[in-house]
Amino acid sequence: MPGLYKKEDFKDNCGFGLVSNIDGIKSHKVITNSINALISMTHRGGVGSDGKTGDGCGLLFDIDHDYFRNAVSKELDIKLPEIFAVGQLFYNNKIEDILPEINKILKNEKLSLSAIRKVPVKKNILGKIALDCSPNIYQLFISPSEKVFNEQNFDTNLLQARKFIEEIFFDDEILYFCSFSSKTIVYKGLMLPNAIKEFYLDLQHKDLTASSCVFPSKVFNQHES
Amino acid sequence: MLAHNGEINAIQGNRNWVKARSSKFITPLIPKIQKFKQLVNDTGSDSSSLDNMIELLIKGGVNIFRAIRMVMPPAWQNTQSLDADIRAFHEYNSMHMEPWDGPAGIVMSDGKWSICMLDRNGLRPARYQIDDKNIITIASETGVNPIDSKNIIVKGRVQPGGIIAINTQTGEIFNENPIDDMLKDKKPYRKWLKENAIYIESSLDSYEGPGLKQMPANDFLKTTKLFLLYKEERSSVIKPLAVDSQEGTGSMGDDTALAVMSKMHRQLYDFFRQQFAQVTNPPIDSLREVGVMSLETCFGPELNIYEESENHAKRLVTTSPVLSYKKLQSIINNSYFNSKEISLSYDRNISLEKAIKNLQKEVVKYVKAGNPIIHLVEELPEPGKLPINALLAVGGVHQELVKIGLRSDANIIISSSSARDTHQIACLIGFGATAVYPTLAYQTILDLTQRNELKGSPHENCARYRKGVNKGLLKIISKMGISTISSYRGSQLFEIVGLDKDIVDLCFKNTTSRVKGRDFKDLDKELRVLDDYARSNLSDMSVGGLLKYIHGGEYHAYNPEIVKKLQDATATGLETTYKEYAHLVDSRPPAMLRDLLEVSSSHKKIDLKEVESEKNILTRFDSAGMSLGAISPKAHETLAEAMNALGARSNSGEGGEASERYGTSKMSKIKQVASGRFGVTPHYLVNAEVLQIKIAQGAKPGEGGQLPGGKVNKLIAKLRYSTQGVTLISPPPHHDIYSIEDLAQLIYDLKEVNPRALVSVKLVSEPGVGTIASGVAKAYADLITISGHDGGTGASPLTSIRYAGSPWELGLAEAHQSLRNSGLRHKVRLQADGGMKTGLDVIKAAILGAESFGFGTGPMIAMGCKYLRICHLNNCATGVATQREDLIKHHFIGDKEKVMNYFKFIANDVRRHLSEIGVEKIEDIIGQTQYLEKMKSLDKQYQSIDLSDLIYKDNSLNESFFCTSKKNNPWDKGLLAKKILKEAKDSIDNEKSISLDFRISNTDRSIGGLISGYVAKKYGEPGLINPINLNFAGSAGQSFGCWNANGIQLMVDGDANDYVGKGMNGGRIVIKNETPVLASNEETVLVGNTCLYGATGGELYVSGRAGERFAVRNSGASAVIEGAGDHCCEYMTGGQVTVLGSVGANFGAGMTGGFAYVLDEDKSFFDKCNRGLVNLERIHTEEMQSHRKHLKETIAEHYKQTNSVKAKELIEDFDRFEPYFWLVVPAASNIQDLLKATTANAA
Repeated sequence: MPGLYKKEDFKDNCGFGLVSNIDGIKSHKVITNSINALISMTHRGGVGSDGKTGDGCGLLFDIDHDYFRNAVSKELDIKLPEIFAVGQLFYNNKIEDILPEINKILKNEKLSLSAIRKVPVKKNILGKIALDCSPNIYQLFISPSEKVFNEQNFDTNLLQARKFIEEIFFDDEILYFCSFSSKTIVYKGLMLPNAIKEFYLDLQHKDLTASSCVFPSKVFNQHES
Repeated sequence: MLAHNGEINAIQGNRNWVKARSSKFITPLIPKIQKFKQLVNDTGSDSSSLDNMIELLIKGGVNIFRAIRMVMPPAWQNTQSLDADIRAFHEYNSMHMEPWDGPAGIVMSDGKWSICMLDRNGLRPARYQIDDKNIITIASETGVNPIDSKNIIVKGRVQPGGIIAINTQTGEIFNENPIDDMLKDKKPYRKWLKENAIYIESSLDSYEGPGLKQMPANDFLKTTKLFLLYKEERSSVIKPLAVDSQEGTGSMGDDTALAVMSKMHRQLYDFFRQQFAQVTNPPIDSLREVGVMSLETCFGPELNIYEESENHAKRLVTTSPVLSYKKLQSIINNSYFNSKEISLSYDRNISLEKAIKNLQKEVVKYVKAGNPIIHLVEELPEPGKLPINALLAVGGVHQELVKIGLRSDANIIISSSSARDTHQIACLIGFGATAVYPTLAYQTILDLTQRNELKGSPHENCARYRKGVNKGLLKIISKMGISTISSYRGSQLFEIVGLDKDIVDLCFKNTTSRVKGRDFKDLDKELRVLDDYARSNLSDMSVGGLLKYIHGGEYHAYNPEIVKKLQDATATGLETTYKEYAHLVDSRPPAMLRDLLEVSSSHKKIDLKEVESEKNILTRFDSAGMSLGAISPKAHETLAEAMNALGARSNSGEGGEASERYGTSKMSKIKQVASGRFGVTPHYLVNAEVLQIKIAQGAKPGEGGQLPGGKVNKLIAKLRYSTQGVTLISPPPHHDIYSIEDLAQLIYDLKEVNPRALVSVKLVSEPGVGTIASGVAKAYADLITISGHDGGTGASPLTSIRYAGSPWELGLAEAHQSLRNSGLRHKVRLQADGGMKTGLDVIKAAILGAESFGFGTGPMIAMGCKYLRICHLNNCATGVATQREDLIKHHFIGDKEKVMNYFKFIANDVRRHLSEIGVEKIEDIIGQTQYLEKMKSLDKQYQSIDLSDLIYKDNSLNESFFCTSKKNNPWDKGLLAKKILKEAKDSIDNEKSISLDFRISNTDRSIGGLISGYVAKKYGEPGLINPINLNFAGSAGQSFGCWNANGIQLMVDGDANDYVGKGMNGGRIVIKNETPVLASNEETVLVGNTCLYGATGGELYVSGRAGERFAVRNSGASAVIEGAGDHCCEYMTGGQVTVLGSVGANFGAGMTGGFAYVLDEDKSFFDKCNRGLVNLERIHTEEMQSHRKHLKETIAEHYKQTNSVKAKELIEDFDRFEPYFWLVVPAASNIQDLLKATTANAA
């Protein structure tokens, strides 16, 4: 790319935080408190020239297995196994295109894909800059295929699977995992904090609970085109 | 799994080291780890790489706390009070992993643990609260989840290097103490270290081997010529290091030709320009905050980080990477590891490139054969052979070893003849050297000692030289915000200006290099010429001419001929003389990048009458910031008068300004806010059209400044709120700018206090400045200045002047292109400065994207400066850069006409160029790079320099080429502040008192700034006669009470964030809790970090603890707090601070004025105080009676304002507490005089 401006030269800076129920009790309040805290630190982040695109904010919290079990049952009519991990994925194209490759990698790691859920979002919330580069967002529900469950093995296999799937394109702009874990999940995007709840419909559901939530809001653009 | 606020400074190095070690990462928990293509992101954000690294460690079986401690260790090397076992744990880890260094706060959650940790310097804030529903909220600010005070149980903060961890399965909360205790006991680290690590220093006394021998004179002469050790280097660089352990100081900027353009032989190191931290992370103050810095260096192959064994402790350890002869021998002959010496001399009949490749192969062979210590030797070769330059050798070997995954099995020691000064040594380490033995420097010292040019024993002189180099190294790494040399090693934090792709790819892969230039063939040819000269010519080494102009030496842009011609022109006002001057400059042999570009236009020439007026053009000119202190009052006022008369602007510099000048023709329209915050009061701020935040300056980016005590006379002490005769130090960073969001806060603070002013940010050119400029534009700055590396200075270390920062052409173009790309160009004005001399410079800068232009040295020369470069000695023979009244009176010949002539000449020169190009105004050429093209008839030397990226113009963007906005208004409308002003305005206008109540939240920032600005504008320094009271309930946003004016009294019932009382000048601020928090009051944190920064007066009362850097640069405020973090009262020059509780480390560092009372109940204060400049006294003795009385009154007032429980306890039983108080007094002060200032204030 000609010129002196290099897109890769961005830097992270922002505000951050964590809301946690010390006793590990899950509630929707932990999520809403986190979102409110993010919103009240909006002045720490930057606003792009379209007035709407932030430089990225997100939420990381412990997976509410019941919530996703219900969602998948209701939306896809699939019953998830008792133990599952969630891979929250940004992908520029249709996931069906790379499904065979993903399945092969999962099989090698003794994992299997139970369901793919298109994460419900409201795109018209986004500013033009974010909209121009917004990917498709999927949740992959992955379970161990071994008969006897071993938590350590499951975690190892998940890590390895993720690394190999990322290597399919080796380019964050095409394929990027926000999270890939049996324990935690990340919802993030190029938007101002006050829009994250509007954008991700899951976050509005009172049934979605968490006991700990971690949140960054960033200043510099990561994927500005 | 984590969120990260901050920046990893040495990310390139960290990523390289992960690659280098990757073959050793074996863990049964990740069986396929060796199959991963990439362990850690090579591109993308530094946060994501950090996340990858920590995840890899934890998933691989490393304990979660050991993992984060390994990657972000607290400061352990120089912290006296650290437990020996904890220290051993950290030292053990450091032997196999360097810190991911930088300001950082991380929060993470893995489903069981919720953790928050801060970097060793505490450069990001982390406040937390626990409520009665057992919810903990940790965040960068307090009050993000506001709840009633009565429901809060704990209000705290995380300290530097601290941890807070919640086990959500058991409901337990831990801070770093139990965590470190747990970690230290997991393995016998101390025992392992004791039995296995060899500390080289302690074994030196028993060293039996030979000592350093002097080289034969013949060889020495040949060596100095071959390795370009000019005479001036002996006296100006090596001598000061060997005498005082200090780097040589210089003044004025670097006006030499760039290395790639020079006609002289230049060292390879001259092509490397140092990077430095700017805005997105702060430089560290390596002098005051030395406790966090370390040069410790380890030798030995690294082992698998997933395992812990005593073998991991089998290492050689030295305190510095710069070796003495004895140390070198001890390492080479150690009992653990094999070493191999490899000469860098190669046969003349092969090429340089081939020689390097052969070297790489040879090193790999020996490392594979089990020789971890590789000793490369760069010395005078035998006839018929040539030396590979040390930097090429180190770079090439390091890159090759990283590539094949062997780098962590080897250590590279380089004995170098070419590296003598701190920059050169830093280059070697920055590109991978483990340790450096500066052999020719030592030989030079031996030679100087033998000739009696140096006194003392050669051995001692070498030791002093080493000490100076160590200090210089610490400075270079701290400029980058890095605290340990291990993080700096291999980080490649330089920009290469003038080397071609083949060299960069082989030896310096992934280092920024934007203009190409010399390739291997060129270097090869030059080396042979140099070798012939060194061996054949019997004459002495030449003087050089790099540091100061010498006839026949290097080209200097401000050489005597040009200086004289300019002075003649401005003194006489003759246009013809100016044209002669312009011709000398414009047709000089190419020295700067822009000299390779010529203006070309396809338009027809137009008549001069049609071009915009001289008056219009003059409005685009600023004189650069030069403080009253650096230059004389006469010179300073002359500049201001001239610029004002022209309709342009002068810059106050960072020394404050006498208020008599406000509203007159001598006022500086641009007022600078620099890191020392000297004289920055609300009155100062409202008397400005532009407020400029000086992040860095070209001559010494990333460093602070010093005004030597001899220059601090009565006037300057008054203006700067300090003491006559005491050296004034500007800290390297602004202590309220550690990240882009902090800068946005300061910009907002300034816009509140002076809503009509434009806010400008001054940056120095370096790779990445474009992204920073975009960030600064998003932070709502109105103006951005890009300064080149060649800016001037009153005083600065030579290596900073010569090697730090990049040319402004690159920075300007990068910023302009980046702003356009982000759609922000129309919001900010871009200015360039750095050695501008003629209209042609202005034209070229405009074409590259600037709409405004700064001039520093030029107008100085017009006022009589002869460029003698002795400014730092206060002896300026022309009365310009001195405070000595005799010199000013007898020699200053400057007057405003001469300065006006200078700028008028340039403006008309610009007009002539515009008419040639065929355009009517400057606006028509801004960013229009089609008007510039590389010159056609150039010497071969210049043909390979590639400026196409510089003059690239993106025609596809739908974005302006220059600023079209009147102001860049913040998104935050500041509604509460406006409301307050509206309600209080009448009372202020009619000089009546009033009391108003409001609710406040953390989103209400800079409260008090708007109203203080209003008061200062109306009433000046004295402020309000009848005070007004503003009372708030809730959590106050950042910068509460900033620039507080006299008569404004603020109170918060709740708590506050960072920067309370920033720049406070008068009045009162109270932060208290009417409903006291339910848990222990001694731990309750009520205000954040860096409070009272640059305060010049007023009172602050906080019935709780403060964070880090409380009262840093306080110049006159009084405060009472009940506990503080690290670096309390740093750089204080006035005022008084009373601390009724425990403090953190490094209290009173750099404190030269004011005083403090500290209550030391647990008897730990003595060790926590930095006693470099202060003394401690007890107050319970007879002669301290007046101080006791004063302290009692202070505490009583504190109780009156806050109802503090602690204050009540002290008042009721003062006699019991009396013996526990300390009085902290600067050594420079007289105890008897301390109270005079306070009683004067009280009246």
